[in-house]
Amino acid sequence: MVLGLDVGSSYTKGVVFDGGINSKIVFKTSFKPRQAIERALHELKGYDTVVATGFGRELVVSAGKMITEISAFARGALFFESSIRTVIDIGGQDSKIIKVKDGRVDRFIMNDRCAAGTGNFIEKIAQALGLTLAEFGELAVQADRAEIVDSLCVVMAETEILSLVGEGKRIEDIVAGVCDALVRRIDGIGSQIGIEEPILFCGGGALNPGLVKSMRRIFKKVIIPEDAQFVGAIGAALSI
Amino acid sequence: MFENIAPQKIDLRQWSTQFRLLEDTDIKQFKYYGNDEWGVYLSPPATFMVYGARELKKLKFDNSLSALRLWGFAFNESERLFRARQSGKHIVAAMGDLGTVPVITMSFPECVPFYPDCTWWTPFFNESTVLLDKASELGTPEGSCFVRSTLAAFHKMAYFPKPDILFASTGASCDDYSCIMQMVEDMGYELNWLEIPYRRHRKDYHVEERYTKTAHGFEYPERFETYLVDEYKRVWHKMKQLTGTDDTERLKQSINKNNRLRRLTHEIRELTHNANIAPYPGLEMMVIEFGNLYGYADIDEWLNILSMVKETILGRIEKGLGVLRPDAIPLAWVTPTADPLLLNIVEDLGGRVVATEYVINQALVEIDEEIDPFVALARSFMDASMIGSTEERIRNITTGVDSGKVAGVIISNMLGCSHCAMETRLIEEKLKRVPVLAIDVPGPLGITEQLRTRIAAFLEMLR
Repeated sequence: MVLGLDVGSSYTKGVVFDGGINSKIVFKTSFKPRQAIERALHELKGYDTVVATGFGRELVVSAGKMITEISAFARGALFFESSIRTVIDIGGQDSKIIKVKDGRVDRFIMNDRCAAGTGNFIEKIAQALGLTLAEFGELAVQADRAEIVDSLCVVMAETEILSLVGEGKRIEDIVAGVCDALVRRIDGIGSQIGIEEPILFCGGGALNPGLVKSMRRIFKKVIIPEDAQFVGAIGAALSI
Repeated sequence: MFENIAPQKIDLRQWSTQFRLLEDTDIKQFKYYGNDEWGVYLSPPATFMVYGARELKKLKFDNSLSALRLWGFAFNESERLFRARQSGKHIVAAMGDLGTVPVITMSFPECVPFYPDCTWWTPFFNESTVLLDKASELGTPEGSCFVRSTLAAFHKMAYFPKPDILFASTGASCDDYSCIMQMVEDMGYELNWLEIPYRRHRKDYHVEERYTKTAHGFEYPERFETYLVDEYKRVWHKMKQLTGTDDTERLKQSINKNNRLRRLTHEIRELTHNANIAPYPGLEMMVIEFGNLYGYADIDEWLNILSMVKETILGRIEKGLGVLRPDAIPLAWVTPTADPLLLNIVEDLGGRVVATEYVINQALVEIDEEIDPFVALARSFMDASMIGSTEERIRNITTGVDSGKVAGVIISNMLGCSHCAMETRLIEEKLKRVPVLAIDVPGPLGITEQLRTRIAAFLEMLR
């Protein structure tokens, strides 16, 4: 059995895999990747070898193999659905848009230089509104009409949202607008390589019902796998 | 020396250890300006950290004697220019022209051409950002190209001596550099501008006139050649005033010598790019391509160094040896990277550069020795990438792609660089037949884990 370990900047995800998920674990990396790796290696049992991916992959000294997140997410996504043409991963600190063709990565683009277009954008806005991430997601799906949030910079967006609150707009509509803004940003970045559907949406962002709703509002065919947060770890395990 | 050591890329510490194997007589045989007293330049690369190039500690270098010579010579340029001044030579700054003005200035006795614009590399070798900080103070902020380092270097006058004469091109030249040179002029330097015409294609004009073609097959109106000849004759006249000499036979000799350099560089490129296993690293190859512009201010010694480099490469090819893994992924590299570390990273992650478009391809074209030398110079310059359209530039790149020897293309996109901002996306669009990765080259010390991941993922994709 293979342990696929995705050491992300926000969360560490591990799956023990033998054609299906045997066991899995997810917890915050908390800027301590070495401790996170130790914990995953210790708590997951029964594996023969380790394949590492994610920003902390090179710290997994016991890994038999290392691959980048791009390859891992593409493989993992194709495991869930072979017909997909694009993988969109919204992670804590970056997002990736990967086009796949004939079972391989065709083109990719990453947004890794600022919070706009990443989970961090949602996290910061939720913080500013005094909401947990779970509350944020639940409120977003209750929106009647998403407000338009133009700013993609998290700092500017905070100001814009304060104005909307001041105007008495419904909080549900505001947070749905924030989700739309993030997905529009992803769409904009993705236009450089041309997003094609069906899309598999994964990463921590796919656990947020508000973002899922926005994705489905902006794109027609969006697939959310059962273990959306584990796509990278599964892809790593599959690459052995 | 070192022939029995297996080829590989080594770091500063390893080079310092290997350097001890050299005898004093080995070291003293290589001299710039042929001077026995102060012209010896061979030293381990770590030496240059003492002069401030502390970022060298991150790099890996080829472990041959020819590479040691190449790096010693390239890093010694600043000292060499100050020595040239001390020994009474004329220092000629040739800026933005990329390959022709040095050929003219080398025709005059005791004249040493150099490119102040090459200072754009300095902040990437030095740990200090003093040049960029000073450039910001002088009015070229972060949003401008790294060539702004040149402005600070002119202000500080510590990186090269004050030139006796300065030539700077304008017109179809790099905008950022041209802007910097105007600011240098405002500082009180006397600049001699020469205008470079944009190489328009026949379809851009609706007038009947005579057209001709460059060695690379680019079409242009003949009157542009006449115009450039006049510009080069102005350079000649200025040099005549500076030196008091006027001998066009020497121009022919200079063209002949520069042709030897161009041929040698071309041969080295061909051998390296076409070998089964990369016999020489990409970083050293970039240094070689840029040396082609002016011989790093001592063309005779540079020619000797390149002859040795060629021997090293031939020896390695014959033995089937190289510095990269045999299955390294063949790549084309478009636009020179300001940060040399990027070339190291790409190779460490499994890539290999087998084609380049560093915007200086015109310096690889031989100058016709059978016609009037000024016409020959103008004609050779009409091949310059910078003065033509993006489509024409793409043609240079697609040759490698079409031949099937290139699996992917890396474009280094310089933040603040005006032509990169426009051209990178266009080149990406036009190169749809082959995977392309555009890297935004960050400022000094700015290479992140994310950037490494992007390069690694690109290579995984190609593999």
